[in-house]
Parts: sequence; C-alpha cells; structure tokens
Amino acid sequence: MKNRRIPPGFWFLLPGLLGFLLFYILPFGGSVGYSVMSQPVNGKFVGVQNYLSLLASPAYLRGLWNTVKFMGVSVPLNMALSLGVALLIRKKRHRELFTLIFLIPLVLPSGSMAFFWRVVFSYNGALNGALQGLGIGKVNWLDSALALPVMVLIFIWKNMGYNMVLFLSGLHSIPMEYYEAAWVDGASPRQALWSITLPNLAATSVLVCIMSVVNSFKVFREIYLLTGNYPHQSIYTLQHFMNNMFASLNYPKLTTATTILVCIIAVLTQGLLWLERRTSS
Amino acid sequence: MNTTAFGNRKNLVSTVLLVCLGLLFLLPLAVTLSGSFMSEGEITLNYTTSLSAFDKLDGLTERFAGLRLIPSPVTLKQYATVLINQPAFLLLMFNSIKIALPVTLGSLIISMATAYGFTIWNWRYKEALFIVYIVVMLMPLQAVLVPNYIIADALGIQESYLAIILPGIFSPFGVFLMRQSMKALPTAYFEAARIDGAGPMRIFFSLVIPQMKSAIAALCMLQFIEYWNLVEQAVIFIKDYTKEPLSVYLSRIAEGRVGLIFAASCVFLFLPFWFLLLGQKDLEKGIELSGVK
Amino acid sequence: MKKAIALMLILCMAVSFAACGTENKPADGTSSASVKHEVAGEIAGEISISCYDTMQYKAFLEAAANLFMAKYPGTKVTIKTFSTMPEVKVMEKDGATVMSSEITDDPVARADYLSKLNTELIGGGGADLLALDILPIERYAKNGQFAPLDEFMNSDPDFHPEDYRQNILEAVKQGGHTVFLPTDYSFNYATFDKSLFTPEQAETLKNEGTFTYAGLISSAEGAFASANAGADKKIRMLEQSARFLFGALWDENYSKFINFADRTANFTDGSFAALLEAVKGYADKGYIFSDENAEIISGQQVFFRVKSDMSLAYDLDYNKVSPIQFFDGGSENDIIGGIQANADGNIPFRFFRGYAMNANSKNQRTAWEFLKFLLSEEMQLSVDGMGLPINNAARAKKAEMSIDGSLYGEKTPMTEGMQNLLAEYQAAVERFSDRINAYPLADSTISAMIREETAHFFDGAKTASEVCEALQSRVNLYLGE
Repeated sequence: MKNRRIPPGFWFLLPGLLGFLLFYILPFGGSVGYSVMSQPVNGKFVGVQNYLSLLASPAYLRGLWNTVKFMGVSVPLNMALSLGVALLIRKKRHRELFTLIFLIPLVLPSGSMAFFWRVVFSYNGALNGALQGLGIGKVNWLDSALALPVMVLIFIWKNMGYNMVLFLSGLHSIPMEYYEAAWVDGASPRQALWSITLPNLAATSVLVCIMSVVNSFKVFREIYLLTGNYPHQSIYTLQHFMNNMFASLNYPKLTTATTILVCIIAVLTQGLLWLERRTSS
Repeated sequence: MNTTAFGNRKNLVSTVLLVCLGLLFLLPLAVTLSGSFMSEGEITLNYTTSLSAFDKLDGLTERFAGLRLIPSPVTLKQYATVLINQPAFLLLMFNSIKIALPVTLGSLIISMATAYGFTIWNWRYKEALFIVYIVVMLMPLQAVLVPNYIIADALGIQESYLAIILPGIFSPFGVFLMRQSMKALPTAYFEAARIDGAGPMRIFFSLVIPQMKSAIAALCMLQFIEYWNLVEQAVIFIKDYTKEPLSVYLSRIAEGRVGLIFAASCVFLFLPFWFLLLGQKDLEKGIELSGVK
Repeated sequence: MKKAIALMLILCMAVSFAACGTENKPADGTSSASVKHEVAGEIAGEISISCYDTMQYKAFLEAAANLFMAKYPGTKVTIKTFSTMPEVKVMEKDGATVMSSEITDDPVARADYLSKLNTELIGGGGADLLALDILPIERYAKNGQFAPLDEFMNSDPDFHPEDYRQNILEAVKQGGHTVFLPTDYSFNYATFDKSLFTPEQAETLKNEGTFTYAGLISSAEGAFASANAGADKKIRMLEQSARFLFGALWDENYSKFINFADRTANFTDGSFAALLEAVKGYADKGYIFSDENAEIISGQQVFFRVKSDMSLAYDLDYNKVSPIQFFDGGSENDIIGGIQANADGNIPFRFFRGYAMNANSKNQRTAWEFLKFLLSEEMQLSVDGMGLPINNAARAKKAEMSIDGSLYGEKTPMTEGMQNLLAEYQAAVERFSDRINAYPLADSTISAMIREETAHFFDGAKTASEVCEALQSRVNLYLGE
C-alpha cells in the first residue's frame, strides 16, 4: 500500500467525515472548554474544580447510579426478551403480522404515549382502578421505588420490536447446514440453541446492545413527559440532571457531566467492540 | 421449514404467549384509535381523575381513569376539529415532511458512502475513528443541543430548517448501521469484482447497494421516524409557529387539550405507519436474502 | 385546495393579531420633542428584546419600540416573541358560525420558550433585553446571566433614582446589585366588611397595619360563627378557593420549610401536613371554597377581600362614587384592613412587567437607553400598563388622568369632589407604598412542585402524609443538585 494515489475509499469517506467533524466533533470540543470554566458568561478558568464538585454532588451521583442501574437491568432484559420472541416468532406462519405488531410502538408519538402511560400508571389510573376492584388496593407506581420497573417496562415496550427484527435477521443468516449437521449427530433443540444459535448471534448481539444503549437514552423523553423534571428519586437519571442544569443555565456543570459520560461511553464501546472481534474470530 | 423439533403442544403454548404479548403491544394503539372516535366529553369523562360535584353527590370518594375501547357514540368530531377547524394542522404536517424527508434521504446517501469508505479503505486509524462515531452516537441529546446551536449560529442557519437537517444528515447513527450491515457482506464478492476490473464506484452501485436492501429500509424507517417525532431541536431552532413541525404542536396539545390528542395522534402517525408497512416488506426481504446465501 | 384555505386562514389570523396590536397602542399625545442625551457611548444600532408571547407584553413593547426608534433615529428595536399555534374555536351563534382563535398558555410552551432562550444564552447570544414574564429570575441572576445595571444607574447623568420608588429599587437588589428592574408594582391589601363585625371588632381591624392570611382567618372565626348561625346563610370568609389559600399561606411561611443555606427541605415533621389539613378544614367549615372552579357571585358578602391592585378602575364615574370606596372594595361597608406582610414581617410587592439586560449583549448602551425609556413617564402612562407605575411623576399623573378620564380619551372637567378623591387616593397609595421593603425571589421550581403535589391533596388523590413524603424527596433532590 505504498502508492501515492489517494485510495478511492478516502473520497467516499470524506464528505460524511467533514460534516461529522463540523456538526459533532468541533462543537463538542468547544463545549468541553466550558467544563473548566466557572460560568458560561465571563467565567474564570477553574481547572478540574467542576469535575471535583460534580463528583461530590449527591444529585449527580444519584443520577449516574440510576442510569447505570437502569441500563444494567433494561438492556440485558430487552435483549433477552427480543431474542426470545425472535426465536418463538421465526417459524410462525404469521411472522410478518407479529413483526409489524411489535414494531408499532416505534411509530407512536411520545406525547400521546406519555398520556397513555399516565392514564395507566397514575395514582388514580386505570391499573390502580383495576387493582382496587380486585381488592388489592392502590399502588403508587410513579412515586415509589416501583417507578424504575415502570420505566424499564416502557423502554422494553418501545424498543423490543426493532431489536427483534435485528435478531431475526441474525438468525436467518445462520446457515441451515449447521443445524442439519447437529440433528444428524442427535443433538436436542436445546443443545442446538446453545452450541449453534447463540454463538452465531454474537455479532448481532453487539449491534443490538449498542442500539439498546442509544435507545435507553431516548426513553428519557417519555419518562420526562410522564414524571417531570424531578421524578421519584429512583428514576432520577443523568439526563434529568443534565436537563435541569441546562434549565438553570449551569452550563459548566452540564458539560462536565457530558465529558465524564463520554469517557464512560468510550470505555464501554471499546469493550463491546473488543468482545465483538473476539467472538467473530 | 415446518419440520420443527418442537411438539405441537409447545407450539400452541408459544402461539398463545405471542398473541397475548402482541395484544399488550397493540393496546396503546387501540386506545388511541378508539379514542379518536370519541367525543370530547366522553374523553374527559373517561380520563379525569378529579371528582366532580355529581360524584360527590353519589358518595364517591375516588375516581379512576379508565381505558375504554368502544366509543359510544362514534363520532368524527375530533377529526373535524383537527383537520378542518385547525387549518394550520395540515401546514404543520407539511413542515414535518419538509424536515424528515431531506434528513432521511440525505443521511441515507451520506451514510452509505461513508460506510463504504470505511469498508474498502484500510488505514491505520480507521477503527479509532469508528469508535468516535459510536461514542458520539451514544451521547444523549441534551449534550449535543447547545454545540449544535453554536455551530448553526456560526454558519448563520440558526433560524432555518437547515440547522436541523444538516446535523441530521451527518448523524453518526446511519454510518454505524450501514457499516455494521456491510460487515456482513461476503468480501469474496468484492474481490471477484475487482479482479474482473470493476472500479469501486461500480462495485458500490451494482454490488453493494442491491445487497443492502434490508439495511436501507431499516435506516430510512428509523431516521424518518426519529425526525418525524423530533421536538427539542425544532423548539430551539424554529421561531415562527407556522414553520413548526407537527410533533411540536402535538407535544403541546398532549398537555392541555386532551380532547384532541387522539385524533391528532392518529393523523400524525399515519405517515410513519405507512412507512413501516412499506419498509417492513423490505426488512423481511433482506432477511430472506441473507438467509439464502 | 385545503392548503390554500389553510394559508388564507392563517393570513386572516395574522391580520387580526396585527389589528389587536394596533388597538392596544397607548394614546400617543404626550410624546414631546425631547432633547437628545449626550452620555458616554452612542445610542445607535440594533437591539432586540425577548418576551414570551403574552399578548400584552408584546403589544406594549412594540408600541414602545416604535416611539423609541422615532426618538433616536439610527436605532432599531426588534421584539422577539415566542408564539404557539393559536387554537381556532368554532361556535354556533345565532345560526351563524363564529370562528375565533386564541393562544393557550400551557406549561409545555413555557418550557419550550425557556429552553430556546437558554440555548441562545448559553451559546453566547440571546436578545439584549429580556422580559421577565416567565423567566425563573433567581436562576438567571445566580448564574450572572443578567448584566448588573448599577453602573448605568450610577453613571448616567439622566437617570435620577429619586424619580422612581426608591424603596422598590432597593428591594429588588440581588446581593447588592440591581440586575433587573420592574416597571410597575403592586401589593396585597385586605379590606373587611364592617357590617359583619361588631363595632369593637371593626375598630381593631380598622388600622393600616399589616396582615397575614393566617391572622385574617383567626381574627374572624368568632364573627364567622355568629354570622353564619342561620340555616342557609353562607358568608365565606374569603372569596378564594382552598388551593389558592394554601398557595398564599405557603408564600407567607416559605422559610419554615426550606432552608436555602443548608439546602435542605423540611416537609416531614408534621407542620406541613398540619398546614394542609388546616386549609382543608377551613374549606370543610365553609370559610373558603373547596372547589377550584367555584366562583363567588360578585357583590356577595365576604368577611375579607384581599386585593392586589390599588390602581383605579376605569369604568367608575368618579364624580359619583364616594371617595375611598373605589379601592376599598365592592360595597360601601368595606374598610381597608392593612397591607400584607410575610411571616417574617417583611412587606413584599409584585410586578407585572420587568426587564433585565442580557450579559451577552453587545449593545448595552442602547439597551440601557431603551430600558430607561420603558421607565420614563411617557411609557409609564400607557393605558395597558398594569399595576402602579414605578415612576413617581407617572404614578401621580396616571391617577389624575384616570379620574378625569383623559387616560381613556374622554376628559371631563375635575370637580371639587374629584380633586378630593384624587388627593385622598394618592395619599393612601403613597402611604402603603412607602412600607414596601422586600422582593422575595420565590424559587419557581419549588413553587411548581408544591402546586403540583398539593393539588393531589385537594383533589383527594393523596393523603397529606403522602404529599409530604413526595415533596420531601423531590425538593431535596432539587436542592442537592
């Protein structure tokens, strides 16, 4: 590869890369600058002080911990569920219809969905009405530790469909011969699942995992519309913190939180890609 | 295909399970759809949780919101209010299209090209750059809004749709999705074509694009839905309410005018739903294609 | 075709809004050819002013901008407003279809305005002047987003603090600096119906001291019991609802529950629950309305009226009404019972319109001049100005113009009675105004939380202790940020 000619791949990459640098990298670099200032306007350089004060802030730590907790629960659960449904669905006659049904939550506007969830989960909502009718009594879904499971439910409801499609596509790319060979060897369906299906889905799983993380940040909109700026403390996430810092014009704190988050995401991504390379080789 | 190792009974159980799950997933849509045929009075009656004077006379101490699926009587009044009395509604819908469509097409072109560049050009920092793409993709919206504004301001486009469309076109999500899908393409194809003397352009158009149907459908669908539903960017960049997309309007009526929300949502989700129907066929096709190889 | 209709209708709406705007313009008979100021810096160039589109702000500012631009050629003032799609309502009226459009003010639109504004401010831009209509003033002030105005106030030879209510200029200072300026003010004062009290009781109530809501209620409990002894007689103590009274009591007792120095909240020791239960008890006893939407029929007797506006009503014939009646209350039995004080004894005020200068502004000189113009006698005499003008000359003149009708374009000669009335009114206003000494910057976030959660209590959806628990956790989360 020592020739002087610019490789054609470069020209394909260039326009997209330029736009990406201009609209994402450059402004982000600029915003990191704010994280070492005392105020957005006429601020002084304060070094790592914002970072230190952020790491000492109980609200930030709570947000970070809740985010980790939420992702730790919802991402694996979502993956397991969508894989399970994909496995169930793939040989069904009405597969297309089922796929469509599971994809519908994707297109419903978040505003009206927040309204729907409020009707279901609010203190005098439909669910509590049903529970009261059964003689169980009212449960405070959104203002107690139960808010986290509700949030996970909303996330899974919204995102399971697409992940399932990804898994379906991954399942279909596993050559049939593998299974035939296994049947000849007398393997049970369960064994085939563990020794053929799952290992061959590793690359798809990384994709699904990354997509789930992206979407787990997006579920914030519904949660925000449902419970507002300051929800029950068990679902106060990093995005609530960032949103509120934005609302109070505390941009240095916001960018500090962002910078830390980017570092965490970078490490996680490295790990995931490393996992992908290992499993695919 | 039907020679499954599973027994019939297991099959039945799984079908029942799926049907139940499917119904659960359909519930919000069903509520929205049936709600759109209710009168404003019926909606308020169904969803209010505060006690009215009549309730107190009846000795009620609490009142629950109810999910009712059958409107009585069926009325098209909501649709009339939304489509005829709020003439700007159609205008706003047109605005939404003006944002979502260019983003979808633009990001499709850019991310196909970029992903192809990633695939065929092997250089030292390729993977590092890709990680940067992924990291930016994972960043929550709150973190990128202000930087977006600063750039739009510097470019002088902060009051036009371009401020929303351009970042959308270059969003890392498309590149990520496309590159992941291209990874699945057999490299032998490229090699064979190259040996036959085809240039990278030809390979791109005649080999890569036809193979990527499913990924293209997925990207178009997801980007369109994403930008059809966008609220935050529009709020920041659009000054004039006649230029707002429908999603912003919808997010506002969801708060105060419950009587309209159902019909408005139905009109709003019609287009992405239609897109979903169209795209789903291609998604399925893509699955078949990669299954055959 | 539909699109064409839609466009037509939007055009119609735009025209009708424009028409509204022109109608509200103040009677422009007072602008005199004034001398140009020669202060440091040049008054030229463009400035902008941003407000959330409450129609009144916008119309007022547009009128002011036009006058300002005429006064200082070479300047350009733009009003940046936030508008949401007006809702078209169709009604059948006398067989004809009547279309009207209205802009609804909902919390989402407010949040949208703020996030737009915040993005601009953080991005180093934003309008030069910010109308304080819905801004969370305390946060902006804390983060240095408002430019200090003291420099201008001290160095501008044309600005004389003694032309304005100085106690109000003092009260709005934040940490020793003036960072925003109200253009008007108002305060709460109570009147009581002397026919409902014994002469002795009335004598003790009839002073110009201070009152608190809690005090009002306790002082009338005995009289309430005897006045409502009859079967169907229902005289309320106040004309407000339980929720409103709770809000007022919260404002009075704010500092008992929130400790800003330690950033802690105290809702769970029982006193907050007691306050909630007390208000509910008042409603149950019939002191106040329990229903938010219940309205008192005008002219109906109540023990106390708390009024916020001591300005003069325009539809009264000042030649006929008895001197003090017009601001005393609806009936001639009403007597002023004092000015509202908080639990800490400070006497607060409110303002309808206020402005601050954006610290990012590139043209602060002109922005200051425009701000000063808004404070001038000329602008403060505007007919749609609410509250009392902060400009002393304007306040005096506006009272006079209200009474002789010239403010509304129908001047009648002043009779002796009207002269007396004017003097009495002015004396009373100044007497009360002199006592104002505080502008408590309520934390809008906490207030919103209180409003939201206590609404659940008054709805009957939650018990007092549940509300306390929820508030404790939410407010603490906020304070810990």
